[in-house]
Amino acid sequence: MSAYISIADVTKSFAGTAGRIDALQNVNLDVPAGEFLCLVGPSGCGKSTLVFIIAGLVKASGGEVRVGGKPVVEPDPDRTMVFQGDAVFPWMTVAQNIGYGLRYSGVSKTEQDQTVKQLIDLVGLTGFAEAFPKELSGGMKKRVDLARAYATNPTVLLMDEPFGALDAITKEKMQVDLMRLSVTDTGQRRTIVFVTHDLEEAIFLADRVAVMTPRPGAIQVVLDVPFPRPREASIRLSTEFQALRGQIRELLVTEEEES
Amino acid sequence: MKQDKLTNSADAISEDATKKRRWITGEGAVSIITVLILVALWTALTDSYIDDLYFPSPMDTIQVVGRMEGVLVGYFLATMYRVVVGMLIGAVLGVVCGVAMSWNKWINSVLDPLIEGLRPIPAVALIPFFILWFGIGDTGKLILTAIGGFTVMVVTTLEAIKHVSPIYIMAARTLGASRLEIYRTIILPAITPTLIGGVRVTVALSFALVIASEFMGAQSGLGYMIMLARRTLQTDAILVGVIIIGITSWIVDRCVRIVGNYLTRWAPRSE
Ligand SMILES: Nc1ncnc2c1ncn2[C@@H]1O[C@H](COP(=O)(O)OP(=O)(O)OP(=O)(O)O)[C@@H](O)[C@H]1O
Ligand SMILES: [Mg+2]
Repeated sequence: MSAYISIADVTKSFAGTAGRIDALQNVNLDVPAGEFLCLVGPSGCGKSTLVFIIAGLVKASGGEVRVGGKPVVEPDPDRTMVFQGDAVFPWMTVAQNIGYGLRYSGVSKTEQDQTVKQLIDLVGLTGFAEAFPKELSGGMKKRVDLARAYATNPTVLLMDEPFGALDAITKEKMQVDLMRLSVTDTGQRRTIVFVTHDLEEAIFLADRVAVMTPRPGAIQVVLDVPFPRPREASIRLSTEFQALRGQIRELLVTEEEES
Repeated sequence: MKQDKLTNSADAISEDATKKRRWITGEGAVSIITVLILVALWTALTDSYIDDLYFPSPMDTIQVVGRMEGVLVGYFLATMYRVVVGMLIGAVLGVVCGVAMSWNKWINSVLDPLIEGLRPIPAVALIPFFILWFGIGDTGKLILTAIGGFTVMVVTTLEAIKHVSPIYIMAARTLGASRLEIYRTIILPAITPTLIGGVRVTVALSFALVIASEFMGAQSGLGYMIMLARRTLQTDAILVGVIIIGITSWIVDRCVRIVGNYLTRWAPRSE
């Protein structure tokens, strides 16, 4: 199992207004190609920061991130991202937002339009192609964001609490969609790093769950999720599922108390 | 069912689809009544207490317009030309320089002291120099107006770019946009609402600068007309000038708002 994303000794400190903040300290993590990895950890432990570093949006203070063997120096459309906040461009229509990455991908205009149309239907926004984001609900905007990240058909997807603000039912639906879309056009599984604070979501989606320590964040342990795919929503109710959830919860709580 | 939920949430923030568009709203009617009361008050006061010499009555004012029609149009056009052309030159240069300064730190280092030197000086204070250098024709007035618009727009542009939410820029970067493309597709649209505000300030400032420079030296224009009328104590002509300036300035502002609303039709509004 070779690492597709390899994070070696990554450290990050910020010069904040209230002095230096050590966000990440010696993060080591390998994600094999095609793996769905969930990242959980207490608020402020540096999950977003780590994802930004993998994306190439933020430079690490120390250590190195490699993706596909190459060191990450800048963002790449083969490694797209869904942000924790609302990153849908308000001045572009739904179709323009979704097609944004395709403009720079070198595919023909007709092909772009076709992909956009397919994605709009796929994420359930049929009829909203020409709508501006202000006319959409929070969940609908998140779906635009997802579709935009899928459009360039990336091998790596970085998702920072994408469903954090959604209600339980919408969330479940979007999780199912995500499982479906976690395969590239050519049938390969995408490598996905998915940040969440919802432990059930993490276990339901992930092949492995990485648990972080409080700030300065580091990887505390990485747990295997043994459930076979495709997974039914009902596995959440199984005792094994709940036992794993309890185990992760325990890890987060004890670390919180120690610090 | 799903459709229902979507349209409902849209209703809460934007227009209610069932609301009819009327040609006049209750608020509009109240504003019109205010204007009518003011005109009535004006008529009543100038008929009784106030001497025509200090403030002309509405009738006198209308008569002056009839009497001066020919020159009035010429003066009006002269002023409008200076306002519009001067403002456009200044605003466009201001936005271009602001964008260039944020694009490249060397351009910023060169232009920043120039702008900081210019900004605190009220442009009207430069009028005597401009008359000396360029005479009392259009050139000096255009340059003066352009300088005023330039300073407003360059500062507005720089401030606006500074406050573009980094999340949009990061999103564009992850999707493969180059720096130039980020300026074109993210920064420019994101700063447009703020720039519209800057343009509205520029409109008001441009009228003020053109009128002031016409006071100090000109052979045409509404400011020139007001100056002449002052010398001969024709208060009715002064008032006509003032009213025309007020109305046109309001109309130009209105046009900027209409164009601005169209350009920023994507922006959520809190009205
Ligand atoms: N640009 C920045 N400047 C200064 N400090 C920062 C910056 N970005 C993040 N931090 C700090 O780094 C730490 C980690 O932040 P980060 O956003 O990565 O946390 P997180 O794990 O994603 O939290 P949450 O679960 O609440 O989203 C925080 O303490 C935060 O204050
Ligand atoms: Mg975060």
